[in-house]
Amino acid sequence: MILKIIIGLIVGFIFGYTLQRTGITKYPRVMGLLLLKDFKILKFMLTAVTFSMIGFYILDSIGIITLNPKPLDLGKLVGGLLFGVGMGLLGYCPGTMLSRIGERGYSCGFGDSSVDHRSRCCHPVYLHHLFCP
Amino acid sequence: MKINESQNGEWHWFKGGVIVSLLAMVTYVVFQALSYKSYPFGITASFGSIATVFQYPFAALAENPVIQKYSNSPAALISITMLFSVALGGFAAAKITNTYAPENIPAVWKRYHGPALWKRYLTVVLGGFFLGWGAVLASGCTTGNILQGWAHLSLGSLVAGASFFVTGIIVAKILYPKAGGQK
Repeated sequence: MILKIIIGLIVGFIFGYTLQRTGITKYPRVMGLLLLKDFKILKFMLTAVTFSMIGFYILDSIGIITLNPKPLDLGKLVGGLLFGVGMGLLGYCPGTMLSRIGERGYSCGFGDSSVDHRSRCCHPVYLHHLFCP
Repeated sequence: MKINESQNGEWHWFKGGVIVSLLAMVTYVVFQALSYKSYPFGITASFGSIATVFQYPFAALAENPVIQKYSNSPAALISITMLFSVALGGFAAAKITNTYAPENIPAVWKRYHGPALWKRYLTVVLGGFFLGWGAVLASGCTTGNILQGWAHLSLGSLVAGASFFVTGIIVAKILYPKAGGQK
């Protein structure tokens, strides 16, 4: 009981912290990925996937864990398409949304020409051009 | 760019990706050793566990297969704790880096769709509805299906993860038609 709470706390904290520090919880980033302009999230995601894929299959082959892949059914496709609509409208997916709740939104000088965005803003300059044409 | 060198105070994507993949592996081993559950990183499962409280005021919901699935899960407690501590982690990171700045509407949204609060909130509620429905149908969100499912090479997760982006890209292009043009 206590162990479950402690493990949940530690795992969630590291996950939320990493998401925020890597900067993938930001609305412009998620929308930038969906608009095919900013691929930081994709790079982050595929790095994580590749590394853990290698790790999972090594651990699986030496018998420490057993993988149980999710089977394919129609719900995956329909659910995935519905999820995509939600992700496009919201600009977050559940994991980043949660980390974002803690962050409570990060406003930077987007679209505000009086603010020097290089000093205050976390976003790369090309994103500034994307949303402030 | 060096990996340790952060850009505008952010971590490099490689660093973040390696940390998350290590976390995924460690949690998988720990959860399997303690036989809690086989899919550690389910944010959707956490929301599902919270949704099980609706079976108490509405007794008819107790026979719902989704509610039953989540209320019988041995990992319900761990999921709910994880849910809150992800937000806690985000808060801590924002506080440490001095980037904690509450805002109701993303600045980009305000620029393109005006400062009307109801418009953003209506979109958020609608989006949240689709997000939750889709995530439970696909049995996993981006965390469960991509970070975990793709790494396991699950066929179902590959299809689900790819279909997230199909409609996601279409909706994003509808919302921001001008941003898709020249840089």
